[in-house]
Amino acid sequence: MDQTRHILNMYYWIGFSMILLMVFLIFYISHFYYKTLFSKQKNLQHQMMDEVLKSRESEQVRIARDLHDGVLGDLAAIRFSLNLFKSQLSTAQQNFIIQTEEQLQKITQEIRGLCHDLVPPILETVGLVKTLQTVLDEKAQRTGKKIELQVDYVPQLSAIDELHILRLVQEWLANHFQHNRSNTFQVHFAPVDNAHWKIVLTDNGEKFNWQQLMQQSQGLGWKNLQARVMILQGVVEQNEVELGNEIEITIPVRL
Amino acid sequence: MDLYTLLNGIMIGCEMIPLIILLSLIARNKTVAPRWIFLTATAFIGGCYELTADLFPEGFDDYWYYAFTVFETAGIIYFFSPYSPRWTSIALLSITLIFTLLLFSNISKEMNMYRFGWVCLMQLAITLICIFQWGRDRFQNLLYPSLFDDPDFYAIIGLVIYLAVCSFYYLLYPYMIQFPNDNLLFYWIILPGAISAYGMLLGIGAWKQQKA
Repeated sequence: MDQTRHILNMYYWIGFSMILLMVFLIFYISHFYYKTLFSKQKNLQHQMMDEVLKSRESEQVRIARDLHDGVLGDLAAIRFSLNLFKSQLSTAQQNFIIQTEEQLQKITQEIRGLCHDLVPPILETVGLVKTLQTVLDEKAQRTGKKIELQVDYVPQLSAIDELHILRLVQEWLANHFQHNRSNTFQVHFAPVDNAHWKIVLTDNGEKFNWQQLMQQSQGLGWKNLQARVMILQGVVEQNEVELGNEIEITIPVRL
Repeated sequence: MDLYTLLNGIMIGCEMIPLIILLSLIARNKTVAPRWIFLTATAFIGGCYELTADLFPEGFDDYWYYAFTVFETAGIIYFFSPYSPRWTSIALLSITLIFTLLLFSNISKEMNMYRFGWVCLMQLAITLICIFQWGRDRFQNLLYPSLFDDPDFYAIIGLVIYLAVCSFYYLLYPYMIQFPNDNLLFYWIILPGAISAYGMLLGIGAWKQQKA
């Protein structure tokens, strides 16, 4: 009897331990495999997105160069020809030419602004903060809206990350100009901890839900912004504010 | 209070808490998936079943157990229904009914723990088929950064522990009763342990449900 009891005890504990061990092992292996698969997939997505954005940047450079060297050059040539031709005309005709020249000047300025939007010419030489300040000032001047940049901390960034951040802010502003009737914007760079920093984007426009916007938006603007955040390995959170919206992007410090 | 009552109380409490968590989430206008409500409701009813069986043991026999088993298995199949084709769910439910009816038609007057073990094994097999379908979906779509971010994962770990331990206990039961009753409590401890673990894991899953 005692021997049977001893055997039963042994089977009981071995069986019970085996069940727990097997459950633990199966779930741990699944969890580990899933995590590896997820990070591989994420890396692949990052690489693909990086490639897409890089090719987009190079395409933007090409368009800006074509506009600058081609269209702007042609416009300058037309203005020069009109100027030469002007002296041979009557006063009334000269006035018409002057008006045409003014229009051409406006078009030239617009194309030059477009080129600057496509390729920020000073990012590599003066750095992110000054470039961003210039871009925001230009935008504020062009649109008549109040755009404020507050910099408490910016870590050392690679050239490509600086470009992503600049583009991210530009995309955010462009989306707001199109869809959300805001007239005051604030861009705030601040520290979080030793390993992270954050960009806080605030506006005073119509309220929106970031998560819903990401799921429902058909346009490319918000998706591009999200793609850049992903490449920067950042996390987006929406803070509750009384007026407008506040988006907080926490980015790991890396170089 | 003796050890038996204490363990029973903990077990019943753990089975009832997940549904209460979900109801509190619904009261706070959080979105809760109906399949979660159904699964936690089966656990809640399981708790009620244990409580009634403790308070009025003379009224309980195998019929109650089999009826509850069919209900619980239906709950599990429904819980995994988004990941299985409809015909799979219907086939699994039919297998449950046929298997349980076969045992039901052969019920003796006494509670037959050994047969309970086979019912539990059947439930475990059905659950594993459902988990396989769930796993296929999760590994294909990679919805969450980690499986521990997925509320379903907690319910699955709980279900596997609960059903595996129950099958093991019921299948060994005929050998256990050969020994005096005081030893039965020693063997029985794993049962409330597993059921409580299931309830707690289901509770964590239900709580995480609001964030998923």
